[in-house]
Amino acid sequence: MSTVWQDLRYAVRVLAKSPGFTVLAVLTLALGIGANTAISTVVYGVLLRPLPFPEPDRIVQLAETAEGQSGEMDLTSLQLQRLREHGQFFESIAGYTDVGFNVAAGNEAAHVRGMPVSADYFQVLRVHPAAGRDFLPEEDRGDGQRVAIISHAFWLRRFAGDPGTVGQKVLLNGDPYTVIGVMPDGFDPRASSDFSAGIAADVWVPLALVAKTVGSGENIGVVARLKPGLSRAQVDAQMSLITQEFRKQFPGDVSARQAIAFLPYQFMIGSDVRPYLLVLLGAIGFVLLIACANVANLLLAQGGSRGREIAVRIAMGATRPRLVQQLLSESLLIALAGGVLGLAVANAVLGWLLALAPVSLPRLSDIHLDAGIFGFTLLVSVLTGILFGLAPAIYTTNTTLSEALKEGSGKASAGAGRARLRQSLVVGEFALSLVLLAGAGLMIATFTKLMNTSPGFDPHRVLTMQFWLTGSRYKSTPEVANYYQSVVQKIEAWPGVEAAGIVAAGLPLERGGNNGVRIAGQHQSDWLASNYREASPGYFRAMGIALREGRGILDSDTGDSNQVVVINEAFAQKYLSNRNALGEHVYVNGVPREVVGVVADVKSYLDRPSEPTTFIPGAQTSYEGSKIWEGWFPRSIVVRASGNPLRLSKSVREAVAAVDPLVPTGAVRSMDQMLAHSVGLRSFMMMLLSIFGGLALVLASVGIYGVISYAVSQRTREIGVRMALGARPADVLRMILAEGLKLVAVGVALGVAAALMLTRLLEGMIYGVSMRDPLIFVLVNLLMVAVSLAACYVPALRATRVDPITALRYE
Amino acid sequence: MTDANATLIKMEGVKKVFYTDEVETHALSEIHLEIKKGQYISIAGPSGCGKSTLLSILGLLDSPTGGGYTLNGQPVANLSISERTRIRNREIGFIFQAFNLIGDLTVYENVELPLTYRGTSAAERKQKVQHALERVGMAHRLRHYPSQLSGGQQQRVAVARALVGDPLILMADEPTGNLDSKNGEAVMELLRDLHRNGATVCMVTHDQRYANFAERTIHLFDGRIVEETQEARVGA
Amino acid sequence: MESLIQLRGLEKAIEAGPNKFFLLRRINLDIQPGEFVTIMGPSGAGKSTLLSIIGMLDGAWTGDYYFLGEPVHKLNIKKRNELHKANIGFVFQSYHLIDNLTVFENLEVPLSYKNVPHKERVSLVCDTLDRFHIVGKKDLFPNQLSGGQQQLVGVARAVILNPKLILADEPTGNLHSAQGDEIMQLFKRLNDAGTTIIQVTHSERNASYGNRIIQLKDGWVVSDNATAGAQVGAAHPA
Repeated sequence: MSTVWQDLRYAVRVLAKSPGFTVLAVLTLALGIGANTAISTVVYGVLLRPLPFPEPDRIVQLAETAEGQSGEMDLTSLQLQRLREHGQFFESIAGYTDVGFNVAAGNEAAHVRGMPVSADYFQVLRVHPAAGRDFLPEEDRGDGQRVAIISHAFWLRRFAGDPGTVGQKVLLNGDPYTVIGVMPDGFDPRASSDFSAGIAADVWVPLALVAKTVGSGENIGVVARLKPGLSRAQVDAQMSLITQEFRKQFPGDVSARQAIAFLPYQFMIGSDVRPYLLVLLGAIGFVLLIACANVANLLLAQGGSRGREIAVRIAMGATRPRLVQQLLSESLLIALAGGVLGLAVANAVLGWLLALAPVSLPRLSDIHLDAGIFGFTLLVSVLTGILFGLAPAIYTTNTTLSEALKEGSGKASAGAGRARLRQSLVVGEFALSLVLLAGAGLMIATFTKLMNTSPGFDPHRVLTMQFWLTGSRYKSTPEVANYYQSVVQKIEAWPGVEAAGIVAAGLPLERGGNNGVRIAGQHQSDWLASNYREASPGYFRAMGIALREGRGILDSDTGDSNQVVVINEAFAQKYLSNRNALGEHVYVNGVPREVVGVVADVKSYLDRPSEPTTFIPGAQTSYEGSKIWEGWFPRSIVVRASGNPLRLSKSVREAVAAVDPLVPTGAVRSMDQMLAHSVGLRSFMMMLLSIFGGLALVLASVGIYGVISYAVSQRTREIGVRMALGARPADVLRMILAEGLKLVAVGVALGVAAALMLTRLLEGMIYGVSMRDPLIFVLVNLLMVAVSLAACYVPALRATRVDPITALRYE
Repeated sequence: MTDANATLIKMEGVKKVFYTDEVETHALSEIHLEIKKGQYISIAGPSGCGKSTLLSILGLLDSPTGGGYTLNGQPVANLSISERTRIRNREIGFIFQAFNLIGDLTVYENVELPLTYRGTSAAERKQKVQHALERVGMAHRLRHYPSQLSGGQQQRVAVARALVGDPLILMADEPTGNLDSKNGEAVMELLRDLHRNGATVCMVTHDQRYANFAERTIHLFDGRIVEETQEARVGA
Repeated sequence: MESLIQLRGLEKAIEAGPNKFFLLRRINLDIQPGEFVTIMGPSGAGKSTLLSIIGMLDGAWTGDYYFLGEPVHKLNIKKRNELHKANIGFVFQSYHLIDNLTVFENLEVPLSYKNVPHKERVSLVCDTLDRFHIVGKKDLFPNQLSGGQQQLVGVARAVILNPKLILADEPTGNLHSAQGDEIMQLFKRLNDAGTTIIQVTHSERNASYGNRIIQLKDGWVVSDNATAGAQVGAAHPA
């Protein structure tokens, strides 16, 4: 123990004696460890931090998966019922779905997210109301009873935290519900990510209320709590048995390609961002490795100058393990200092990351530094200390004694191995840098491509505002159509408004509704998948969607007139190929509609081709059907402004309130904002990978600078000899640069090989560019060669100034 | 001067060959050498004759390629590295031409070094270091760093470091090589005093003046002992 | 016959504060083609300095220096460099072979700085390997050779371009006596074949291979004599 203390004291002194080295090493590590801690914190918070439920790893999500298709699909309430019967390994199992509720109070309207859940939903999560009680099984039977459990936030907002709230009534969509419980503060079972606007659910009602409806009853999320002690394999085996039974029971629904699978509940949350975060984690791990290699390099260079000290210590009787311990305590000290400073770096970087993080990052509130992260950082520091310290310590203590003790003999034979190790480290640094830069290059290309991809409409100067009509006084399609008309007229009367319209079941660049359609006169065994939108007459103009053929939606398209549909070009091409689309009839929701117009394709996702879409005049829709769509996708007012659309936000809100203050409104966004948001994750990814790649390149350049400088100092004599033999400065310069380039070339070759394998991880994140895009690889290589040449140039220039006489006398 | 006739070092047919793929370089051949306790022996010869190699083997810094080497009755020619390290630490004190003090350690810590590697208790270390530094007249410089001392003072500290562990033999490799004649003389006198008080000293030197301080001088040439001369004991 | 080297009033001094410290003082020296000159003297006498100046490695001196009639003192660095490359080979005490090049590659180094075409380069190196009986060692690295063999390569490298002058600084200083003799005999043979040699040495024995000894002391030439038994006619101008 006393030797450890002694070593540490000595280490402090040694480090204090060479402040330049120490500061460089500590800063390099602080940067590496800090950035690593920050990214790890994000990954941990989003993907790994245990959910705030008891024994969260026993909670699973059940979903239907289809072979060859990514993503999981919801189950139906019938399937949930069957699962319940088969659930001998579930402690409890529950279903849930989404609805929107209009909560009217006095003269104001508000819209909240609601979750119809089955009675044992809270038992699955093992979270119970803080006040009042849980649902009773009988409340979730038959058509369900109008009881509600509300969130803490809603309780504060709507009931001002009144302790007597339980037992009171609340109007949801105009129907009175009895509040039976209030959930604890912060309860957010799905970490809010699934909601487009990131709003947590405020109201829970029995699932039975919606289980028999067409939309909600067929889109049920299922969560279950496994019995304790079950292994994954056991559940998997059970699941495949159940799937087989399901195939027999629901031959129409569960085909041979489909299966019921379960996933850890936590896995479901953040499944969209998981690949992105994991790539970032790996990338920052590379940066840390490079930082370690750099510090190891510094230590090796320093160890070279300490050969004599080590030799003396060995002559004095120090054993090798003892010396390795001594040198390792120095590197551990550096690493710990780097770790402590790294925490400060992490804190800063984290703040910056969160400010830049795309809103689609779930569980943002779970991202914070805490004791666990501190422990993790400490562990990383110790590991990096050993990682970068061990090899130098071993090499440094491996000296030929009788040589090293002689006066002036700086070139111990162990120097060769050390030089090789240093070169290998630099090669590794360049290889890792190349991988990062290739990744960054691909993301930059992707981002550029996306930004140059037309969304199919003119996104500038367009404002959108969400609103909901469920629970309002508009209870039939003509009433809704009239309401639309009043709102549009009111808004169009404002100065600075060029056009206004309304769309339901989804805006461009967002998830929207889809359903099956059929073409009249065409024999089809299956429904054709198509996006479904409801639009008012002004919508296409307001959104800037070009009309290709026929006409758009007109005021004359009313419930009584000819039932019509406007389709997009993708629909025309895919389903009505080589035919004049106009005049064809398409069955949408079972109603045959005449195609009267074709509009340009509009993208729901920039990186995917446009899907076939039907637009139904708002005045010709089914009221009940619209209500179901509205449960998932708010209706939107779309306004084309002559100037900055966001300046109209207030006016639009006021116009809507003036028409009817009891219609709740939601987010107000410009289409430019939505466009930015739709590429947010990739832009985040591009930026971080570019920063990591740049950082890696800088570190690698510092590394090669160090190695070449050291090589030049070691080769002073050789350079002198060469000059004595007739080498000109240019020859020497070329020789040293070539030496540097040789290392870079090996690093780059390894890096290209590694990058070709590793960029596969970016699959699904890149768009419009090949993962092996030669141009990107060439550019990245050129960048690396240029930067490394610059790094080698300084020591090479120094080499040309070697004075042959001095060099030759130095023996 | 106890036990003056006991043999401390016995080398029989020691040779050292450096092998590379193609050539064998015979740095030492057929070295027979006996050093008794309390002797003061010097090794002389032109550069490249093998003096330093011989001293390295004598000091267990290096092992011979062949032949026998017995130190204080124990065969040491073929020991493992860790055993060699242990014996070197306990039985041999080194004095180098370049002093080889560790720049980042104080005088006290430099002298303490051999003791820390053998696990002596702190109290005992303190007492021994103090004593060793008193013997070389450097006890007043405990907290200084080597860079704050003159060359002569540094070499005296190095001698104290060699002494502190009560070694069987002091090995000195050109101890005056980096010193001016005044300081060189002082260090030589110090060694002579130590020798008079019973220390066994083995020294490599170029300098004819100082070779005379020893009672025996071994002359090496091309890796062989070519001559041995006995000096009249200087002083009494 | 034109002198190979002519030094007139050559001096080299270093400034030490206000003082000027002379390393070489008023050197007047003529060396004819075919001589084998030994420069001797105690440490610090200026032997190596003189050798560096003759070898044009050192340019900081005053006085006149004619090499084959060319006024070196008037040439710029580039011209001196060319003159040296074309005419002078060096042999060093510690060989100064390049550690990470093979024997073959070491011999190739001076050629690489002289724009010798590849084919010719290979044949020159092979010839030299033959001449010095080191063909078997061509793929070895210096540290795989004995000191004597390394110096043999050192000499081979010095003569590969067939220089008029070989400058050798203590060429046997690091060698066993037998190996040293071998190198000296090699020099003797080269000299017999017409190469001018100037060596610096401490050893009388080595000096006896040459035909003229120049003694330096404190930067001055203190004596300049033919060696005993030297063929005076070859060594001294008439």
